[in-house]
Amino acid sequence: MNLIDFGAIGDYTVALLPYIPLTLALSVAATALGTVIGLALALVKLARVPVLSQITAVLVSYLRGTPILVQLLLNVNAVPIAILYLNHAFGTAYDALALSPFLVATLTFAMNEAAYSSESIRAALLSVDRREIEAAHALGMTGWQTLRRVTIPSAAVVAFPTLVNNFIGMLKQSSLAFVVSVVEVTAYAKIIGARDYRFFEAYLATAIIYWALTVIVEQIARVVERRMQRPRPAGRASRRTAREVPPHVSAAIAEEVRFS
Amino acid sequence: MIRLERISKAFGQRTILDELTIEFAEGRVTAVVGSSGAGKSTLLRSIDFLERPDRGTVTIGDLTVDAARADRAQILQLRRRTAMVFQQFHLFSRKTAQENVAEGLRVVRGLGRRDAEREALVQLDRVGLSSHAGHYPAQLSGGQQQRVGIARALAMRPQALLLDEPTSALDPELVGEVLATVRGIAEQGQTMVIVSHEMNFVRQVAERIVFLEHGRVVEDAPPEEFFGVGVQDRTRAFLREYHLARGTPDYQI
Repeated sequence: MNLIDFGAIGDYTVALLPYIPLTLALSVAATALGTVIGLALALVKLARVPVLSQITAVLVSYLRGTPILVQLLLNVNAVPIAILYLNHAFGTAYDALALSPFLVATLTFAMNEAAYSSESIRAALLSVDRREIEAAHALGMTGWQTLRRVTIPSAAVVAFPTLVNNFIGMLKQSSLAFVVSVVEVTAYAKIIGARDYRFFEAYLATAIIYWALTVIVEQIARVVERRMQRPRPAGRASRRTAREVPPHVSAAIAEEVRFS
Repeated sequence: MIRLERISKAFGQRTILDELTIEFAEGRVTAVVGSSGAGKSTLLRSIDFLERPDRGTVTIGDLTVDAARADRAQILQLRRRTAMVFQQFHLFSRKTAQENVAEGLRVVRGLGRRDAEREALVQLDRVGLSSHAGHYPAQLSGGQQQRVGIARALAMRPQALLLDEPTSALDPELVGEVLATVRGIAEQGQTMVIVSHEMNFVRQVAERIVFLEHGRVVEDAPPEEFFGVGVQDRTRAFLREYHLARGTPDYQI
């Protein structure tokens, strides 16, 4: 009895390899865009911008309160309607169906990433040592210069592990994009599985690929993280007293507890 | 020349500075002393609006800024004409000593990377730390960190250098090197306002000592007078307290 075709698992794994770049592109684009939007959301909340901060709060609540699958299905149908509406309102003639599914998936995932990362980015920004910010102000830096040169670089180090986790989550989540007909790794596995009626082998090959990807990303992240920490060599005697434990340490721990 | 005119500042119900008017002459070193909570640091931080006064005006050179109407550009101007040395150094912990000094040069004074790096080395050399240019703050002693803080401030070529208790966070054996650095800079004619608890230091480096109490100037005299007999009772009481607390044996009044 030939319940499992072991040879097919290998063949399918190889067949799926060409779709990895698309999965990666989707994940990288969505995480990058999502992080930038997340930073913007965090700044809006921190600065308590009137009106805007209320609007973003509702947006974040919606994004966190609905399944990503539903958002994908909703957006892919909403976009053509929006285009038709715009055509009607402004007399333009955009093709409502020409919209790339890849773009819809990227934007949907990015907005989700933004909603979830904005809180961790906000915590990371708050963890930046006030004294360094004050030093930047005393040097005569503008608010934006301080943000760009001091606050964001320091916060990035704190937020990095969380953002890597988010990226790994995104790699896996990107498999949902098949519902809006983006043919990435999972979608192609479905296709070849259906072709040979070897679904189990196809999905096993898919799982192997995702697992390998996340392990590789984790290893790369570990190296990068170690490099980022270099300015604070562990074990080297410093003159900091217990009172001066950098405030971001405790914040990072709180962050870890909250989001893991 | 720095002139504060009728500067007032309150935190909630607590008045820290009360219509304070004071002038700091160019090329001179002025020390501001007083007990904790007298308003010394607030006075210093009012000069560059790190602490925005409630009322009054601050004049640095040809620029006068009214606290009630100050806009962002004016505050930046004040900050670019001064430089601050902090009690807890406030170094950028993820930058090397050289990068700490170069940061303001690049971002605020607009120097290119190479010029900023070169200038940073020159400034580090002024405080005797050019050999530690590649060290991160955590790899430096407190005294060295504070000297980097001084170099970072000097690099901005400030019209006035403001020092907020530069030695208070240091272990006693590290105070000497910072004091020597400050004295060396004072001799080069740099205008300085120093808030300090270190009477010995103040006595050596300052040409004028201002004693502050409850946000008002009680005594304003050169050191020989300030530590002499002709001062007011409150000043004498302050100095007696100070020396009693530290057990200075050779102090008598």
